[in-house]
Amino acid sequence: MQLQVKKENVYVPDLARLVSKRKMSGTETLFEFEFVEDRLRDLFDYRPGQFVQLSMFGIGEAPFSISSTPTRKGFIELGIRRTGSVTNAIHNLKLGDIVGIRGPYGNGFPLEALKGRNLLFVAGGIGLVPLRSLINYVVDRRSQFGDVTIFYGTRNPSEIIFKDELASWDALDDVDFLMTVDKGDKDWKGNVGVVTTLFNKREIDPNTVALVCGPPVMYKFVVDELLKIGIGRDEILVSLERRMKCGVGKCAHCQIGHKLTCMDGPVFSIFEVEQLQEAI
Amino acid sequence: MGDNGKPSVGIFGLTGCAGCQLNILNIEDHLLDILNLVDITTWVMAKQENSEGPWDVAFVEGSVAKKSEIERVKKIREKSGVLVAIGACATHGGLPGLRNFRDISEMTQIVYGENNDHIDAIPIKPVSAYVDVDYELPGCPMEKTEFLEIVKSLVMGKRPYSAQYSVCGECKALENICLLKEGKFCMGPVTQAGCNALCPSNGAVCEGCRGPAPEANWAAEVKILKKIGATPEDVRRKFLKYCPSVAEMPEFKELEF
Amino acid sequence: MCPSYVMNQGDITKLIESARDSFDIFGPVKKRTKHVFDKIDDPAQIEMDYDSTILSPRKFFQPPSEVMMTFDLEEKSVDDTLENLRAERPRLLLAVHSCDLNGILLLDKVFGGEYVDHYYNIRRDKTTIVGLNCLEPCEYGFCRSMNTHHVVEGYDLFLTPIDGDRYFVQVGTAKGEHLIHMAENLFTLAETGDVQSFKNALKHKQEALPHEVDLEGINEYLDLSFSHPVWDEIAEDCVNCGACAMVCPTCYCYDVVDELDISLTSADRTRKWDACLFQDFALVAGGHNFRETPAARLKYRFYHKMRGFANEYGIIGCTGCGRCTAACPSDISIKEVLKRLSTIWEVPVSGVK
Repeated sequence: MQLQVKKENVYVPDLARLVSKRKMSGTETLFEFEFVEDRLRDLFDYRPGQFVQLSMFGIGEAPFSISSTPTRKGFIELGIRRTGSVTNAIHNLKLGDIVGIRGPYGNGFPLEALKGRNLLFVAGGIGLVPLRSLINYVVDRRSQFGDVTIFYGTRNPSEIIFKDELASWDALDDVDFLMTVDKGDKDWKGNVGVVTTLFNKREIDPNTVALVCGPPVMYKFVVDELLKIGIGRDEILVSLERRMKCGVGKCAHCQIGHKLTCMDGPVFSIFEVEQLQEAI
Repeated sequence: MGDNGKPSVGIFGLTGCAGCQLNILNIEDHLLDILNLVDITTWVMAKQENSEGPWDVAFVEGSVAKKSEIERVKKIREKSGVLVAIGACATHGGLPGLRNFRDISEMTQIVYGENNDHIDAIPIKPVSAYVDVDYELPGCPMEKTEFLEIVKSLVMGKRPYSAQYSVCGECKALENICLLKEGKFCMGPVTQAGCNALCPSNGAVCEGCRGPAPEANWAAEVKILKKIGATPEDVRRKFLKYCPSVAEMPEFKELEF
Repeated sequence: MCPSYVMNQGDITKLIESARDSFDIFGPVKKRTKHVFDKIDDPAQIEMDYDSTILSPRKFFQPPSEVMMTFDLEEKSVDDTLENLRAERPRLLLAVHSCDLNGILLLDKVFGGEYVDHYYNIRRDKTTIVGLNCLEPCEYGFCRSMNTHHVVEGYDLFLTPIDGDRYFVQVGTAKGEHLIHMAENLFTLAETGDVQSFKNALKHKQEALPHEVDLEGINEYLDLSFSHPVWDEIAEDCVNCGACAMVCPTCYCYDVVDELDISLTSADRTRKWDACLFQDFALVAGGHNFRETPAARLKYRFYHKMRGFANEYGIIGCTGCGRCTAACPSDISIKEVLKRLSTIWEVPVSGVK
């Protein structure tokens, strides 16, 4: 079990400072924060797949998947798209500016269960943001896992994020990395087609855990492919997005059927998702 | 930006009672605070010297009731970064829109007599019928708190809060007795919240001055009102009294009264 | 086992007088044709014989709107409001019916658990609750169907009317015992005859409260009717106004907004009651609404209340208090909806949509 920063009022954020920001695409930026208090920098631990609540004081608070890996400590990276008031304000932050962060929350990926297993990551668009945490975790502890395959698709080349890192994964001998875009441009030399077209290019072992994250429309098609391969419904894991206010199972905004995305998720198996009916 | 680095603001009135502008003046406790945040460069009702723009934010009160007002509101739009329609007249046509239900030349004659050539009256429409509107503060009059919220939010670069539900949500949280249940023709279930259920809290029915709530279920409201004795004409009048622009909505045209 | 007592019904006003120095006192009072829980300044205001209240006692523990913390935007500091809550006067809440006590027990589960919500729990700890047994059915309630017509805990004292003019008083907690000590002369130890009267009162209640909704198979028929067009039909009358959620003793969902002060140098983080029937309840920043239609939201409310709570907390989230039915402008009756759903046994649509 990871350490959780214990404090009396769970809703009060801790202060954190923006240390770096890296533009990932036209609308997405990777923000690196560190806690102002030294103590918290050491204490703050998390599992890939968990999220934090980030406060822009006076503007509001919103949940974000942690995109960094706990294997590289001392900072938290969040990949954020500009979509509303809070994310707009985050994009306007200058280095050194102070925000509030509380967490980590949610179940995260089941690391123990993944050990020794073949892993297939399927990411669509900014779905790569939460998966990146686990991918880098696996890269850092490569010997603990079996075959590692990564499928990544975006709508067009301009929406590709984490370009440097994609190249570094691609360069690894023990990671099989493939990517595609729905629609190329004149400079694009790579695969063209939706992310499911990558399934034709590789033979995936049915004894694999699939980790899927992307826009709601993507899930159905990817899951169909995975089921065709023979991967079990309980071994297809997805990370769901929901509106959240509290992050700790009180406000009910992220409730799906009888599950709370913030407490029971955000990582669910496709079996659970199908039980929940309105999940995706 | 104004000369002092603060956002410049213009406040304008079209056809209406000017009560919304007056409501801004009535925010006495915070008027000076507002002036700390923005620079009101144009406000004919309250200032002697007024700029010709441009403005970072324009607040427009009143409905478009004359041909000349179409040009006026287009000009304000051109010179403004953000345009906010304030009050039921500007957002939904408002009470002046009652004249839409009579023949306009006949009305002109009744009010102005035979020599009415200088009157360029046209059917009443809200500001959004002619120009893009960024935000709307509905209500007769506009709520002061919503005005303050939008000023603060625009200065902070934040999306202003607006309730996505009907007056009933606020009314119930205030523990009011439901007026519909007492047989009174209340528009609460289909009217945009944000007034903190002012009328029902004081025992008066909601008149619907803030316009339709998101996804208002008008058919259900018609059924409720008829069940407690409203005639089809009563219901129609209720729906259109403050918001003549509602008559143009496809959902309204499909309604069976 | 703590002894039980009896008191004269008319002495409730004396109890209020005795408790006044120690508590802010709240109880059912008249509001035109209805009742509400409100502050009792004059003991004569209390109406022990009330049908139901417009809002449930939830409002005392999770108020419609509350400031959770204040940000100093210049100093970049955060101050929460827990100290202010702790400094508030203790409250005495009188004449809470069984259904509502069960509602509070459910809220206790929601606001407790792995992450404790101190705003709720401080208020809860500082409140002494005197429950009141209903021996007659109320207009809209169906507590017996939901098994909330009796309580096992959740009260500090619990009053059952006996012999027409007295209460049989059960002591639930030390807080309750403390209240008895505060007005010792009003209470006498229950004797055998009193216990007999208590038994008769409960027997009367058993006969008087109707059993109207059959919970047999509720989980199954809710699951099976999930994709059924019946929800669209029910939604035709629903104005999605959220009144049902506002009055519900077990609805707890809330929205959080930052409210800037006019100088833009500080802001309050405020939480307010929300309702899953509101359009933007499940809307995410990217613009996707996970419950797009009013019908989907209406269904979700029923489903969560009647089915979801059972999964999470082991009990159904409805206490049968009937407030939602009383509050609905369209007269949608939760009892009727359940009865209607219980007739639908069809193969559900499954699979990832």
